[in-house]
Amino acid sequence: MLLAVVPISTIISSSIGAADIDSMEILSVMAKRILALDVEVKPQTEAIIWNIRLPRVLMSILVGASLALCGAAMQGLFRNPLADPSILGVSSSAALTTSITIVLLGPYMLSWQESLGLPILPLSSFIGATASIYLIFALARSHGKIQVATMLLGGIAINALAGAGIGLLTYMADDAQLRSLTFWTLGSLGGINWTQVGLMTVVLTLGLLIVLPLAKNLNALSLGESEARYLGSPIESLKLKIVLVTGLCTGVAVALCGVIGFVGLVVPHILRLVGGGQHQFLLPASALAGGILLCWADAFARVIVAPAELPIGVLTALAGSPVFLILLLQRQKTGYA
Amino acid sequence: MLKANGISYYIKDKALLEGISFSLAKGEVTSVAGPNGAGKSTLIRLLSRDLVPKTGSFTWRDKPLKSFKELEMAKQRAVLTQKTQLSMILQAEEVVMMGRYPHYKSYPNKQDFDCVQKAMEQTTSDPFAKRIYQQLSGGEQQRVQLARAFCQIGNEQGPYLLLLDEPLNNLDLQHQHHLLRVCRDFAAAGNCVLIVMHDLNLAAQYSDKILLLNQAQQIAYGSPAEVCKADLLSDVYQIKMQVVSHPTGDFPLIVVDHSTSVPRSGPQKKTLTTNKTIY
Repeated sequence: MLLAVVPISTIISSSIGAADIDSMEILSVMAKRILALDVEVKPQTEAIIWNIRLPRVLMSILVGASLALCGAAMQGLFRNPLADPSILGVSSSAALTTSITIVLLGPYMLSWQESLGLPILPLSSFIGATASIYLIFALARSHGKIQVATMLLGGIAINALAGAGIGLLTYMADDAQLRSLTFWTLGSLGGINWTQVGLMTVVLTLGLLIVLPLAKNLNALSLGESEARYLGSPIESLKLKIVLVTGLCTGVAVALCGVIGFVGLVVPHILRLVGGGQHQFLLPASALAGGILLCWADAFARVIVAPAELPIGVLTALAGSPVFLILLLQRQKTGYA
Repeated sequence: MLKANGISYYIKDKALLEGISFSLAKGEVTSVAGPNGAGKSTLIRLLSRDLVPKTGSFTWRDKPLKSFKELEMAKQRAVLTQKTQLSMILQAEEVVMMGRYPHYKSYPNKQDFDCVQKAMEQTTSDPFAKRIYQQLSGGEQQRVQLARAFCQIGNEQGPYLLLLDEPLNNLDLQHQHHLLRVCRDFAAAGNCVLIVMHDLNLAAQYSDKILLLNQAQQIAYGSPAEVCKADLLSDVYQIKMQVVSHPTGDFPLIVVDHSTSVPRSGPQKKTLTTNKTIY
């Protein structure tokens, strides 16, 4: 059912925005561009839809899916529903390494990008994300158990460090750099092009291919590391895969859209209430629901203060923080988490 | 089937186990007993390959235990540790299904569901199959975990190895005996069972062999009648005991000597109450 909501959301959400466009026009543009049909469309409308709206809407779905998938996978790895790329500082470290690259390596970046043929920003943000999730996991784990307090405090420390680092860079940056720094810390889906959509599609597909088959082993891990091993789960490779996929998906998402928090926390939490905790359900459902949620959140962000727009990261944080607090309260009451 | 040859394990210079040798034959239930800190759980962790012995080695099915792959081992050996936690919300039967994980790749088939059903009946946990694991009582959770261990092994070609670390925790008297009888039946089908337990009388009643440990050393290993000697046990547990014959069974009955037991009245009671207020 969720699968059917995705294309519908894409079309309706594309019609929402500063310029008024109806859904039929979107279908016409898609038919013309994708199926190469001969359909009459106003060139201006076509430009808005094909170059601005569609890449943006698709990106919101891809990023939402990536973040929610990462959240669900991290919660499985940490055996705790409070884990999330933004809370544990994975997103902000990605933003930090990206900012360092922009400010300190800015002048060389373009020439490197051309000579090496590598997307430098996503790469640096991937390194930051992977390093931080590895660090947190190593910190929080003692004798095969995850210390929840250490995990959350470690996240606070990394968030603070990244915040301070970005603050320092803001001080050093020139005007143009400053604008992109603000963009990275607040999160925005504006100005997305098709190349970026392509990159994110590849990353998400890779993430899904690696993480979805781990569902059974993530279930087993909920009994504890040793117990999962007694059930024949390859725990070490599972950890490595999840650390790398989370680093990759979160890293690239941050590089392209900045820090969009709490999607990875809220989506799996709601789905657990609806369909239970089994990862066979939770992982794919999180990816789908995360995509849908961010698609609509972005549509909302575009119109709520039109013709300006709200940074999407601000919106998700506004909605997500209360859910985090509710989870913390529940944890006190039931001891679960 | 399982042989331990001179197993030792140290952390730094402190010995947790030293020179342990025993063997589990097909069809046998072996109990491991001993005071707190004797090394019982360390032995389970060595056998389940959480720890690697510093000296000595295990063989299982005539091959070195360490030569088996994880998944291969998971199909032949189940472990139940003392404190099993579950960090996600699941129904009891979904927890038991985890025992089938080594046997299927993506989706369980009918045989897997049958195994779950059978294991839950064996451990009398089937009445709460559909309930949320976290909402069960301690004893019910323990029975669900036991069902998980039973459905992990015992449905294809044996012999299997079942390692239980204090499985009687939280179980009432009826379920303690029921569980041990199930373990006996499981062993009788040609498998090896090793149980860590504190209750010497249950150990004497249900096991073929008892391995008695104290302060990392192997004190005695043999049939219940051989191990349960009054002077030996009194020495190990630092409390005076007597061994008498069981009124209806042919196994020893261990009782604590009256002279060492705590008097029920007098000044002793006072200290107990003061202790209580302190806590």
